[in-house]
Amino acid sequence: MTRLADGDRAAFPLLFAALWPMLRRFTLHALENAADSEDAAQSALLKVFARAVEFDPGRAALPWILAIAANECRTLRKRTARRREEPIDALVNAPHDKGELEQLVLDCDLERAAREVLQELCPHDIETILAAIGGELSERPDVAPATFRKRLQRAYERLRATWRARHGAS
Amino acid sequence: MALREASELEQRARRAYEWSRLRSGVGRSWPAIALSGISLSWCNDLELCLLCGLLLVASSVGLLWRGQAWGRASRPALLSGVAPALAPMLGQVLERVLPAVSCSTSCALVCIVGGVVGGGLFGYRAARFETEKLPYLVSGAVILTLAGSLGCLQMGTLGFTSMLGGFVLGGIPVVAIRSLARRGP
Repeated sequence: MTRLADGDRAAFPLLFAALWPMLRRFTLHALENAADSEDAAQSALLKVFARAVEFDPGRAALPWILAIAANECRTLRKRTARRREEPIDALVNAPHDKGELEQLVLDCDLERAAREVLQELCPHDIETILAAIGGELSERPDVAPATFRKRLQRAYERLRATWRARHGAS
Repeated sequence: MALREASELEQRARRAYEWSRLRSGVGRSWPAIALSGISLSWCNDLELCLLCGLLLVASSVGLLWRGQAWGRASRPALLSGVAPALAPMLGQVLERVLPAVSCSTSCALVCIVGGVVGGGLFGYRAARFETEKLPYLVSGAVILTLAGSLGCLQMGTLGFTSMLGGFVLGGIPVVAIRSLARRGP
């Protein structure tokens, strides 16, 4: 990375060959599906090379690169979450009575708030919570049940703390 | 990912890298732009100064884009070139203060002095490099000559050759002495 920042073009193919598989593995672990992880990995790779000239040789390269990749994953996750939210208009236009409609809007807001808070957690905690609640995104990690319960407890604690910090309520 | 897609991604990454190097080169060439602007403000021959200024900025951007030793010489050479670039301003002041001294004499003198100072300063920095010395010296010489030309070329051939003579007089001894000192007894 230092050589490339200095202008040594011979370092480019070596760095590309090392970074591309690593970034693909990292984004696949952080995101929910293969298509999104491929997009994030490509964006991260292009950003790493576009910012290579700014790289400070005094710092470690790997954390710098992974920070760029993590940022791309966060951006993509936010974009995906926004796409998933149902527009309020669809709810308003659907035939409901007033009480039902209010409850639907409240449920939507709550779900949106929960997703936002969930996305602030680290990928490990998200994975653990989703595995616990089940559904298409869940895949129980291959650990002992006691270990999984401990992980889940810690993930819920961090989720509650993040919720309190954001919404001021438990 | 298919081989063709990986190859396309590599090309995109390479383009992103080269464009960012070029943008960085332009941004870091602000001293060359500033020096060219200053010399234009008091220049007698605008076309000549503009040409020198454009060549200086283009060389600075190109060498910084290239990087490694080629780019590392750019800033020290530019700083060293300030002396010969601004020396003729001093020559004009001398001409007014000492009207008995002709411009050709005073201008040649200030260009020699400016060249010695510039050559000495750059030589001092250049002596630090043990590896990649040739690219460093070549790119430094280009920038130093173009920067000095902003001032001394206005004085005509005499001014320009005096400046070059000053670079040699100032630079070579400094490089030689520093290199010997670094090698030790």
